[in-house]
Amino acid sequence: MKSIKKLAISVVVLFSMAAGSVFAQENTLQNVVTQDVTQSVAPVEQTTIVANAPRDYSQDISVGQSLLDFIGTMGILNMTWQVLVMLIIACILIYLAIVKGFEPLLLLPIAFGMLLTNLPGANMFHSELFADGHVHWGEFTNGAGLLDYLYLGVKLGIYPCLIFVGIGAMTDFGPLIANPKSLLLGAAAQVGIFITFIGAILLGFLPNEAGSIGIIGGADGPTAIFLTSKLAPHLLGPIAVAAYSYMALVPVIQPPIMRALTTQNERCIKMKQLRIVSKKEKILFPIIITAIVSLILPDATSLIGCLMFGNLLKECGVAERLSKTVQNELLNIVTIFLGTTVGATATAATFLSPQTIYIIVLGVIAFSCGTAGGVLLAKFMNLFSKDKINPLIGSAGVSAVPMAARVSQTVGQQYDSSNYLLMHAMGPNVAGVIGSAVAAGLLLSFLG
Amino acid sequence: MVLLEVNWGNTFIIVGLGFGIVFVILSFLVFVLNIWQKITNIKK
Repeated sequence: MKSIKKLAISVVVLFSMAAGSVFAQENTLQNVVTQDVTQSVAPVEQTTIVANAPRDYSQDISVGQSLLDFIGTMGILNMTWQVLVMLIIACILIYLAIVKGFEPLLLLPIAFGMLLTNLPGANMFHSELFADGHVHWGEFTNGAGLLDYLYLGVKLGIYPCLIFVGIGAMTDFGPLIANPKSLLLGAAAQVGIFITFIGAILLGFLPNEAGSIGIIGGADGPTAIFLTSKLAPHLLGPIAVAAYSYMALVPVIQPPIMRALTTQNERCIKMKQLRIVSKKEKILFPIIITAIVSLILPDATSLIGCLMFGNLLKECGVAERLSKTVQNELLNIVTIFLGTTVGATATAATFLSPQTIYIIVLGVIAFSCGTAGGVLLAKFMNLFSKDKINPLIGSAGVSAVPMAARVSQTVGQQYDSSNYLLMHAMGPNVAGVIGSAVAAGLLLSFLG
Repeated sequence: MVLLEVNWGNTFIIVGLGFGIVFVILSFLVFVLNIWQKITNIKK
């Protein structure tokens, strides 16, 4: 009890001391201010007269005007039908991400970024800071916001590369090393990118815009964002939304094409079991691939280098902490930044145009052609190969890891439940990631 | 007419060279991996 009393007394004393010091400070401040004012501004007598006169509050503040100004800044009064449509689209995307599970890890931040940027009056994102494809650094001091600063990571190509480090750390290249021919299927599936490039040119897009639209066929979100931010940043919103939406729709888009291009017998081909890949091979693979691709195509180095660096962290076995960090914390943080800022670029002015509809249509064409390219090359390779390839794994060459490989497995099992294609499909699947990064590097060097 | 305005020469060069180089690079990687497997005597 005594200790409690002591504690209570000490608390009271402390409070009184604190209060006393505050009052003392206020008095001191008031004295200083009064002295300063009286000494520097006006004689003492005049100050006394002004202080005793009744104040005219109507000159200080106009309540009516302030209220009108406040009402004028309300977003709801600045609502246009375009903004309303964008808010509805953002809400639909949020619904698709949460309820339907469409690539929620990226679609949800993108949709929320879209919601934020289209709220009238909020001024969350200032596209004029990045006008004409350049960063206007001088204007950043004039009220740039959080999303503007975060968008620098997209604009400077930082986020896609960091995401690739994380993806690399989560990727197992074992099936690809065990069956190097898978790389060809990954290459064939990139045909969608180039066919779509022609389609986009036909629809009146400029070559740099057509290249950005074509890369949707790579079915690799970070690659699409990386290339678009360099070639056609004004199309970033629609292209990102199309790329991630179609990646989520891979199980819907691919199976009909796979069935249409294969026979019953081909779908039932059982492939030889893959050999076990040694640790040494897995460690050497990322180093060799980085060196070869970078020496041939320097523009692809940032993407391939980051992908392989992440993979080396995983495979080397001595940097487990770094590997776990890039797979989890780094990847998640960058995904949040990337998603919200890319979504923030989708304003009514850039999104609500016929171009967006063209991009959505061309995106389907890109995915479909890529799928068909992989399947057809697998059939072609069967004409010469001793060990037959199930053409269903060709469709996995469009990246979309691991969704496309799972689709190959699912469709294969529909025709032969004892046929396990997943590991075989992972080869072309990860080859597709390398292929789309190489294609992005090529388009960048041609059109950048 | 968009068709007439498009520089089809450049377009087909980009498409042909682009897809061709993707194929060549990945084929070269296949070649390197096969050589590597033969050197290290890894049985398939």
